[in-house]
Amino acid sequence: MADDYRVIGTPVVRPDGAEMISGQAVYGPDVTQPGMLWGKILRSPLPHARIRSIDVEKARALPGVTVITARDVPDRRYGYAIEDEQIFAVDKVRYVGEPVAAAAAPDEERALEALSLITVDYEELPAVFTAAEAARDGAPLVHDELGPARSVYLASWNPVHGTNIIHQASHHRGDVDAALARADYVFEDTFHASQIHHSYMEPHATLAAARSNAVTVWTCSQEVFQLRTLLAGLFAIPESRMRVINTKVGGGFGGKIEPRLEPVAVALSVHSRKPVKIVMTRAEEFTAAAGSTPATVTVKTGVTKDGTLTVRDIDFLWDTGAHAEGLPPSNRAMKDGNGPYRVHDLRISSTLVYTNKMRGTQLRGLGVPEGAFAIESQMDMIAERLGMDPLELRLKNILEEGDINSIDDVVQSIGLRECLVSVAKEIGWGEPKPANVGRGLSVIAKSPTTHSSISSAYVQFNEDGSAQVLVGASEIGQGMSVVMCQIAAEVLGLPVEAVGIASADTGTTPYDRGTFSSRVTFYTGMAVKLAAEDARKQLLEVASRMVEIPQDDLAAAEERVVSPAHPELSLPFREVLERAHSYERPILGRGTYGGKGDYPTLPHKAQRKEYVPGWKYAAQAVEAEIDEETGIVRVRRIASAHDVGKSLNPVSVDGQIIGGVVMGLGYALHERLQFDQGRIVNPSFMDYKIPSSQEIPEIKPIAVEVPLPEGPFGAKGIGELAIVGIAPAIGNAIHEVLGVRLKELPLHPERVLDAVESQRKRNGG
Amino acid sequence: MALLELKVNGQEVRVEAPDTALLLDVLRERLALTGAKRGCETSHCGCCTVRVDGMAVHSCVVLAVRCEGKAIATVEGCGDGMELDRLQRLFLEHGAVQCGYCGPGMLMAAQALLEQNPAPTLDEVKKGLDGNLCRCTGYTPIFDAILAYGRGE
Amino acid sequence: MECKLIRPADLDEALAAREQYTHDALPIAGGQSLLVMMRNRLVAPAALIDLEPIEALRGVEVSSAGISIGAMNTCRQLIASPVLGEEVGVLPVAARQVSSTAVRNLGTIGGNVCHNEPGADLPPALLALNARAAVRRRANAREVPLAEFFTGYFETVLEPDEILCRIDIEHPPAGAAGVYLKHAISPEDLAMVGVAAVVVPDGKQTGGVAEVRIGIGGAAPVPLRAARTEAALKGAVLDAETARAAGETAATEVDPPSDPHAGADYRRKMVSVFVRRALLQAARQIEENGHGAA
Repeated sequence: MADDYRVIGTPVVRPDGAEMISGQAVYGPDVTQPGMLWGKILRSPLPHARIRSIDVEKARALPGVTVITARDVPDRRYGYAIEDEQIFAVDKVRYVGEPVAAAAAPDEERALEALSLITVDYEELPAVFTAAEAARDGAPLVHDELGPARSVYLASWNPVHGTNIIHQASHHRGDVDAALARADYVFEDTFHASQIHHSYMEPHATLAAARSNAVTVWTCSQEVFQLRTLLAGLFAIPESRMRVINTKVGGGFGGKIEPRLEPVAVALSVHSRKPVKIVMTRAEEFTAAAGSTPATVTVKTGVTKDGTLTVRDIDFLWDTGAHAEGLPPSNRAMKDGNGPYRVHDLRISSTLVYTNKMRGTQLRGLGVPEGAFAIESQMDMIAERLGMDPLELRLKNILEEGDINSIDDVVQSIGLRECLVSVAKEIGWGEPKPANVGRGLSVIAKSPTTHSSISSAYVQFNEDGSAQVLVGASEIGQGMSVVMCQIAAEVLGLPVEAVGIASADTGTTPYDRGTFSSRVTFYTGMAVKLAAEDARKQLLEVASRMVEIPQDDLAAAEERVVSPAHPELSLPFREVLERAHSYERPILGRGTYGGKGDYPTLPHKAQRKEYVPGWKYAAQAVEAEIDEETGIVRVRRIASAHDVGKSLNPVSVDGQIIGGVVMGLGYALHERLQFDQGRIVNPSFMDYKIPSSQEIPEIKPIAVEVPLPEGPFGAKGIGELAIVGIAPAIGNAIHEVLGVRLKELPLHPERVLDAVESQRKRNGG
Repeated sequence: MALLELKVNGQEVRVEAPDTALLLDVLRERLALTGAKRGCETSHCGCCTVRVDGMAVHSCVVLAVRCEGKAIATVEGCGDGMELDRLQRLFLEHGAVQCGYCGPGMLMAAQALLEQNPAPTLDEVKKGLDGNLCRCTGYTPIFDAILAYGRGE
Repeated sequence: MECKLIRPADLDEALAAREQYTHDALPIAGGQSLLVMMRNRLVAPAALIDLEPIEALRGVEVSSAGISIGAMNTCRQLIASPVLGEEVGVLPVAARQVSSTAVRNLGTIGGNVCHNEPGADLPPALLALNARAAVRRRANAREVPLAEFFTGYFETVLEPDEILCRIDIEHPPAGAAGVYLKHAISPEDLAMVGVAAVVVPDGKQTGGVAEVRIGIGGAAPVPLRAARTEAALKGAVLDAETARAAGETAATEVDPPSDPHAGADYRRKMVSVFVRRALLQAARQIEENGHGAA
């Protein structure tokens, strides 16, 4: 497909870049309001305890201080997936870090002083800290009763009442047991992913102002509309009077989807009748916000002698901590757990379990990295046993156009083979290398969001002929704002500088489900494209009347209305807009996109209404140097190739790939929240290491373009996938050098060395 | 409380603050200069990096009173208000800003590095940014922007 | 609640303040660790005694007796000092590996030593250099060999009315080589294990050593000298086998902690690896140059 786009595919600089790099952008912690108070939260010091009593009298005696507990807030449960949470702990605490009370005061010091005057009498209860323990019969119950689930999850919600198992699901096709019995070889391995932290640079921060009969909340959220619905329900006010305004968001990665500070800030504001701001400390981020949802993954794979995968049986056990925000990743694994492979018989089961720890939630990749570490590690184990090249084994088994994927859909628009071949070439697969250097590969895929993925957009012409895009999806750093401007500019025949974009605000921007799951470029992008097309149509209607040329003969280009049939026509948009605004009507284009089955151009199978286009595919390759004496793994080079459909902005695409790769590097090598009896022992950037400038290898991002017919200009989402395959690729490289297989993340030096030593012992050395 | 006389971005300011107030708090809460970001408050993330007498420092571990008589430079002093300076432009062109939260601190660290070493190598750039964390960009675009500056682009 | 700041004009005033406040006040050097601890409410002193204005804590002086380094010298100054580079090169090498650029710009040698954080980079180098701490109180002064300065996690011999004024180092013997190796995931981290070695050649045979001094950080409640290892190396010829054996001996001299960065067993193994590597690197330095530079 020849590109003749003006703006699409060019490295346009972000419209919000200047305000950010000049320090003028207002992030969550930067927001202020006149008369504002600072809020602080008293958190549970125990993993599981009954609250006998809370004494707030001394704290309340401080002048200018508001103190609240569960008694002062609505007695309602909330949660995006399962309603298993209240604003403050009621009757018992379930993890170290759970909010128990809060104070608001004119400054942070005073608020902290108030908290120090609150006494809570706890009766400690037996606690459970691992999913395996928690899933056993007779384990202490984190929640005495389960649920209920929110409506969108109800259909697939399967709790085991009277246990800690909040959800169990299984999906299968064919006769898995028979296929395993038939296979020439069967591999069975268990892998453990660790719990990592999102570690966005901007801590959670919220300012809530409850005034007369309306509430305004400024917050750094990935989903302002979801949040509004939740807060409005929680405080029983109509959504029309609950306004959520996005501040600039300093990174999210899935960690700013669910509410954290907002309910407390609103409650404090309601009680103090003043605006209240709460900013998390970094220690609170690590101990009380959320981490990823870790999993133990057991994979059984049947293979024929020639290396054809025939059957897989995969079992996931997820540790969601004290709240069931691990539901989305545990569900996602049902679709994505098998990776991008063709297997005839398949069974995937997934169990989500409560423990007395800080919650796991969604994190970039949404349940895919945990599965991919297992699958892609085992692929190399299979290759070794069969004496096959890991590249060959993958090329033989990866999904191709027309194959049936794990959820029985026909694979369409897939550039995976090209991705794999290009990273192998880039990393020098098969070429000579020193003995202490290893190379490893991975192939990865992620399914699109399948429900509630709704977006809408307005595109409005300004009086001077420039345009404004209004969308309610959150710019969290991924570059959505520039891509939306590019899409509108391309459609409208405007230079990209002539398109502005508003930031998400439930009071002004139209509905969007929000920023998660690599969905914004596709869904919000399509809404913007449709809205821009609508605006262009309206503009040409007005122009048509002005120049008395049929609308079908008119086009928009370079800020002018032109006509191939009338080469002399060159009517500036500005003149059309003057006319529109003075004598006709303002031009406001509207576009909506999303929802089940709402893909008019898709030739999908009639029997599966759920089919949603937009699977994402990628392949990654690493080259690492391994110090056998210290266990240190120094990754030297990484290639990451992504089927992006169409690269709308190459700088943004490269940025998403490189950024994801580096996050994957941390996930692979060192990141892990460490617990001691439910207490996190590394709650700082000193003890929880994210990759720093000095650890960055040479990274080659590669964009493969197999267009997605349904996507805007053929584009697919790209935000998450680059994190996914780095860990198994490094594990494979370590195996190549040391001959040991690490099945637990992270692959830190101590673990590498232990593996080497156990192997030495096994070999009698 | 102390009455501080500070020189911020070339301007003399007088401000009241607690004796042991941190530079970060004085800039943000008393002078409304929120370009220095509150990120970790343990001197690890570098989002609060500013320059004091040319040196990059983490303003969350600097006593404001010690900055009296010294030149404090923050991101707000870059460019001329409306126009970005060359380094800022290169940051944007290379995609060195995603969420942007680390950006002001990165920029200050990069300025300090470039002043001492106008044409740094890649390794020198990596070392020069050793006090600044970024979670979005994977650093590479930031390196590229600084290297481009060093090449005079 | 508010913490007061005392800004003494000179050392006498500072010592007077120390005597007056003792446990209620803390001296602040570069502040790179102390201010973090205050911010996170790990300590809440009623006052800080600001050491910045005090001239007597500055500068690097060289005399026939040795090198005297003011406690308020920042890592940045240690790195930039030509005289330290020539005389005791292992110290600026270690200083270059302290935390981050911003922290090196303000963090001081005195603060680093007094904070005594496990895995700090300067103590091993200073131990290997036989450094002494010059400590003052109002009434008197004392000199403490650095090997006796550290008493426990984040603890030193410093009394609440004392101030560490200078670090004194004798001129290393001619031809001595100094090496500091840091084992960390990334250079700006605290060392999982940090090993400094000063090797004095005997000047007679290749690899022959008159004396070896080894400082180890991150591998015990305090940074320490590997005394038995050093004794075993006296008069030895430093080859691969001796170095390996020395590493193994050193591993028996440490008492490593387990923390989120590494377990005790791992650290012990790393002591063995890095003592060996440091010794061999020092030997190479001597061989290549005909002499070393401590």
